Amino acid sequence: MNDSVDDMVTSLRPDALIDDSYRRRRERDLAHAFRTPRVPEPSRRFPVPQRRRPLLLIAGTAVAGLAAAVIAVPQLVSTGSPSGAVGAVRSSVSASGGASTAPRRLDARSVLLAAAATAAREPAASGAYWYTRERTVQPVRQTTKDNADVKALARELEDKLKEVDSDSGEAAALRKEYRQKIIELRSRKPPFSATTAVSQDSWYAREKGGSSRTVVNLDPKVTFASDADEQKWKEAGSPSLTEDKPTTSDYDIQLYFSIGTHRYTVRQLLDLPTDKGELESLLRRLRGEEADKDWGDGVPDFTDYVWSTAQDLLSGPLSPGTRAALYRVLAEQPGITTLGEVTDALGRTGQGLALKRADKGGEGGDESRLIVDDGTGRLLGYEVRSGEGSDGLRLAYEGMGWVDRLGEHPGD
Amino acid sequence: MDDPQERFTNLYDRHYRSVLGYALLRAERAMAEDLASETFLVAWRRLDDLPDPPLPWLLGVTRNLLRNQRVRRLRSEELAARLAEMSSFAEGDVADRVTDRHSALAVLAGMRDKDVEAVVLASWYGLTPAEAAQVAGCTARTYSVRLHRARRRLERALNPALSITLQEQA
Repeated sequence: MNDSVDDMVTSLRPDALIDDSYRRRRERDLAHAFRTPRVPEPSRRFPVPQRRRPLLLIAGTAVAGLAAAVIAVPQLVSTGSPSGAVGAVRSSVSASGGASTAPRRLDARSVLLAAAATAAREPAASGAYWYTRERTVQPVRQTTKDNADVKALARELEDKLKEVDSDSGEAAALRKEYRQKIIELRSRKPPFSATTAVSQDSWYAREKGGSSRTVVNLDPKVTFASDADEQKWKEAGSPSLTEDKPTTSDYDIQLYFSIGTHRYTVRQLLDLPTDKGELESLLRRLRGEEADKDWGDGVPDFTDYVWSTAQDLLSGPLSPGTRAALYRVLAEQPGITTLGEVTDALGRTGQGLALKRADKGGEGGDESRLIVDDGTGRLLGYEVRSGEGSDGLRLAYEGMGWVDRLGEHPGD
Repeated sequence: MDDPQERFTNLYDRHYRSVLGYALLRAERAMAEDLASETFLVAWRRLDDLPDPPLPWLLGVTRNLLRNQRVRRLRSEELAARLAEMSSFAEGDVADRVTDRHSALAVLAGMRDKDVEAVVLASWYGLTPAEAAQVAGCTARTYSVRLHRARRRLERALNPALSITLQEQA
């Protein structure tokens, strides 16, 4: 009896469609594979399709994201984010009219419009790959051993989940139990105060089907807040705080930039509108298509949405016209303040712009900053400071530009 | 056969269609083709480590690619609806096959998604419960329950006379 049922279900398989695809794709797929290096590197990571966004770790949402990311693992392939830094959450909180008045002499709008004008004058350039080198500076919250402990917990959870029906109450209870364990692990603070700085090189292919690459853990450095902190670190056994060698990951899957949850390839970014009005309409439409369930704190307001887009895309391959248009859209958003001249994580000076977000819990939110090079209109860096006053994340763009080969740097 | 290119070509020829069929259950054609290609790229890089039989592993990779990519999900996530959508590409122009297909789709539409997946994995790929469970992401026991439930409902649709017998036995 099973045979006839199975036959019937098999007859539902779209064989004509499948055969057609097979005939069309076979040559290309085989050729593509044969062009790809076959020797697996020991430290190779499973390709992650979405470009990682460096955002501050916030307990709860990020933990769930981490656990979920590790669970979806087929047996022979390990997964992991391409960068050593911790963090995977959208710190999207609505800025409910929390605007402090801008100093009269040099307001945010003027700074942004000036950046727009400078950006627009830049000649359009191009190449096979968009390259960035970014340096991330953040306080030490975990040793690498702690990170390994979290991964071990996540694997343990995965093994236990295999034993129960994935829809059951048991599974939900297990996930809750492990989320709690992970939160506890993550809230263990080290007994010393230090920051780590590490760089990452990225190459994003312009052409569909081109490879992309990241090299992480470049030039790691640890800075202790004081000699006493360094001493405490030694007493704690001098635990390792950074990965010790660079890791290269090559991606054959398309890597995407994002506007909210919408994905953009390099080519699509280059096609974004260069007119301020059109770009703004597009951003409003994209935001309108967002769903609350995709955002930890609900869809952010438009200012926040544009700000996050600027933070991500201004380090990406935009045409000079789009760059300028984006600055112009930003210039009209309320709540952005100017900090005057500030210094970035690499000691370079630029114009600082800030957006404060109220914490929905009402406990004082975080302030994020964009640092703009007023000479070139380029983004120098992005920073987030949390409301408790502890150091936050500082991201500095050491370099960006078009190159023609993987591994090449602009100006080589 | 030592040549890796030859080995890979054989793998591709034997299993591409199965992998694509699985991807088509949850993605539109263009995306499904890309996912199938990516699955085989992963297989190419791990060619020397592939388990035997390789198909459950390949489908597992596809499943993870589907999950990890923030695929713009098909409007309806229901497999039955997806199967109905693709039914114009299904084989068989014999009259009673067509009727059977309509009945099957109607019954599948009323079933839980996971049950539909179970019978698809069994019938399209002939996977054992242990293999299918890996692909479906559940235990073999759970998978077997779903499969049994799905087959029973389909049997009743296929043969009403038979269903009376089953009920008597139950």
